[in-house]
Amino acid sequence: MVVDEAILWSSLVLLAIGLSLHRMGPSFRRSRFGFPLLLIGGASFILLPEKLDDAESEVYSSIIELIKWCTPFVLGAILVLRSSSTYGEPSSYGLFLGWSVIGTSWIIVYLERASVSSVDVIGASSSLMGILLGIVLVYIGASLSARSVGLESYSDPLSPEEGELVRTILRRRLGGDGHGD
Amino acid sequence: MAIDFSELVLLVSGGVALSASFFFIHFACTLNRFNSPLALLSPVMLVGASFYTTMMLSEIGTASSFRDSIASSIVALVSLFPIFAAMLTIALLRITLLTNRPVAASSQ
Repeated sequence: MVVDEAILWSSLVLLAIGLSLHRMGPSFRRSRFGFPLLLIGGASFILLPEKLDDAESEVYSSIIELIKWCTPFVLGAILVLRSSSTYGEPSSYGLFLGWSVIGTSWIIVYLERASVSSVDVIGASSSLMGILLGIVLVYIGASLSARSVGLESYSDPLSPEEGELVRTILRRRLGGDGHGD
Repeated sequence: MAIDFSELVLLVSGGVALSASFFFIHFACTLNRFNSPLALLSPVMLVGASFYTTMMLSEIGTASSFRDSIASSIVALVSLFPIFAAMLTIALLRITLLTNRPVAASSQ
């Protein structure tokens, strides 16, 4: 495998790592590496590869085409949501602008659509079936492994002081004005 | 141009390898004391099984045919995005049309 193909696959792996770390949330320290890794992966995917083989070139061009129309679509969707009364301040101007951007993204999709043959559809359906099969099998494997671990031990019962504390908290929260039972 | 059965199986195994690799990366990155490390085993086994299938069926070389089938899976996944966008567009239309109507007082 030559350098450009290796860069492309490494960028996709970096994107997956960045996304996974970013989704962990702030309670895990390693989540702070998520966004920088996403940026590095995205930048190296877009900027670095030059001469790619057929398979990688197809992946590269399909993702770049996706970015071209997805970016205005997401921006338009955010504008529409912010300008609707349910999710933000109602604004006719914002709605008009948002829908114009979404319309532009659909025009880009229409202009860049490729002719599709039945062989392509069968191939894509097989790949998607494989992806779904993988998700189902990983889910089954993960749930079986989670069941196999079981509980390590039961926690100790509350001490009299802790029990009194819990009783006091519940009485304060549920007792209303303090004149209840 | 026809597509033969072994090619279909290669594409399915590429899809399995793609999703299993993603889950392996996700489980490995998010591993913490509340997770079981055994969960990493199923994606590894699936990638191994896909690689073995490719090794048995490919005629042009295992590595390149494995790469080809994973690349086809990514392209197939990306080709689904207009469908997701269409569903989102319908949802946005509903939000625009249903929630931006002036609301009159229902009872006085």
